[in-house]
Amino acid sequence: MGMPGRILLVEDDPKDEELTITAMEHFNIVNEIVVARDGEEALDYLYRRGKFAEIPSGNPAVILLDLKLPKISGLDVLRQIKEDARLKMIPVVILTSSREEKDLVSGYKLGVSAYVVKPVEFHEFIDAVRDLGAFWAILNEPPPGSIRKLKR
Amino acid sequence: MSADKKITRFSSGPWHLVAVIATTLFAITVINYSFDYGWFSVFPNLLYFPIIIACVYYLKRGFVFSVLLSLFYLILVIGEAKDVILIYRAIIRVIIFILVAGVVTIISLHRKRAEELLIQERLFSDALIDSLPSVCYALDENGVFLRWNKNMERVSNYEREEITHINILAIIAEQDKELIRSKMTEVVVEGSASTEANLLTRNGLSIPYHFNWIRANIGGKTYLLGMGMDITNRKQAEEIINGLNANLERHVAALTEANKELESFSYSVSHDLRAPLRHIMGFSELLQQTAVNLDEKGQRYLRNILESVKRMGNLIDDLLSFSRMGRTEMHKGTIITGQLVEDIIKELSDETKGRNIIWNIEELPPIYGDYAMLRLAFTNLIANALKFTRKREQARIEIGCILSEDNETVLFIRDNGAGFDMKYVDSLFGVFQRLHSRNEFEGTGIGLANVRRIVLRHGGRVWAEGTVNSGATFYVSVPN
Repeated sequence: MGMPGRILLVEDDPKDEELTITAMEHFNIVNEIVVARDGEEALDYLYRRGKFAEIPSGNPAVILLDLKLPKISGLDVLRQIKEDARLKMIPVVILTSSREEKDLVSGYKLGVSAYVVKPVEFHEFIDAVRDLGAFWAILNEPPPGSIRKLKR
Repeated sequence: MSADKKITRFSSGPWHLVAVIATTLFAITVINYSFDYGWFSVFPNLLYFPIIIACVYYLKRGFVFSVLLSLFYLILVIGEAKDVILIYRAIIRVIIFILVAGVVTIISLHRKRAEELLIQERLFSDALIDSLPSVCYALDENGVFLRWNKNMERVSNYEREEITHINILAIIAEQDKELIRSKMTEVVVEGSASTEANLLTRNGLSIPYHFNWIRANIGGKTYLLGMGMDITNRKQAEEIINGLNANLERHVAALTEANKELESFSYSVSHDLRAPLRHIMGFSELLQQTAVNLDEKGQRYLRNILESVKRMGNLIDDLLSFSRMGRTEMHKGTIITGQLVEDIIKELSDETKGRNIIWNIEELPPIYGDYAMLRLAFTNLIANALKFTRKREQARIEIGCILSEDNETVLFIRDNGAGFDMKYVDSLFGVFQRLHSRNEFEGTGIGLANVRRIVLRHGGRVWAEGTVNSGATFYVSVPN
């Protein structure tokens, strides 16, 4: 098992963010998480502009993407990522409350790597986050050019 | 219209009488002349022909007249005859006279009959076109009126004399004249044409009409036969229909809008309501882990919170599945009902484990519908039967089919479980309606609402019969 990769968590709800990070604390991958609070921030991070202008180059190992986001929706973020030759190799996992078929279909059509519905029960939720983190940030071999460790 | 003209041509007027008298006088003069000069050959007999033809052709009972005339002549000859040969000659002459008169009579009778038939035919066709409710006419190839029916005069308000020799364009509204002109060319070339145009009456009234024409070649001449139908009512109906359609479109748009709202509502239920629920649950569980000093009471409160939140999550999920059931597209096919029921019972093995259940499953006919939906409906019904017979020492579940005359299949599921009071039967299939307390039997109350929605979407019916503590029977009908 290699070094844990960086995770970009795109999540507008601070409570969800806290729960996700708390869940990850259990597995010691917390310092590898970057949080974007809306679609625009997520794209800013990926393109290293705005408040992310100073960060070192390199793509995250995985993007955990909520669908319902302020400014630019999750599906639009996904579309832009998949249209950009430099970004489209990043694995994107949709992590959402929506079980709607139309979201599932749009997500997979745009080439999402996985679609996870956030479980209501917390212990199930931490199981899901653990599995996601373990698989995408640790087990999965990311495409070349991804940052494996956040350097501060 | 001009049939009476022809009738006068064939009838015997005063001129004809004069002609008959003149011809007769001429013939008699010539005959006498020939007698005087002694031309007693066959030749003079021919000189009677004008008399014969004149009599037979122009006079009523001409043949009788001719016969009488010849007999009179015979009597005259016999009275004055000095020679038997003269009498013989006269007899031969009379016989020839009568024969020729007979032949001429027969020919002229045939001709008269043909003329009468022609007149009758003419009157009949006039009556026929007059009887038509539409405007009806014949034009020459330039569009000039030759014949027309009474309706034509009535509608256009023109007199008979005025219509004669006017062009069809005279009764067409200004804006449609060009169109009719092109249609006239079309009918001459193609053989038929039709169009809608406004008919213009003499007093300037414009009436919407549907015109059609066909070309007819009769006796080497080209005629255009046309008809025109008043479509005022149709136009008005069309306007009403257009109005109704516009109204309908508005309603459809409103409905589509409402549907969209419903969809965004269920989306928001799915996403926005679940999020806070997840937070309550997550932080409560975190609290449970961190608050180690919480006393038994506090722990119970937390457990209650968690249970309620979980229940609310289930309710939201059920509501969503119910809303989806009304929206998802159906894929219909033939379903082997017996196999379906068998599969469902196998699937519900967790419920049946360790229980004493007597299954009584009849042979079931195949049904036509959406497999996934109907499977859900029957799963709900069978799971209900299992649930409500749980307290029975020996559960008895019967699944069968009722022969129905109306083009539908009626299946039923009967159990000997808790049953229900028939006075609450109406609320049985409502969303989140429950007839038992949660302590008695668990569930959100969405199952039967889903069954009802699925069956209704198939065009079928659901109903139930039950008695408290003696079981219930649920019926599902599906159109064949």
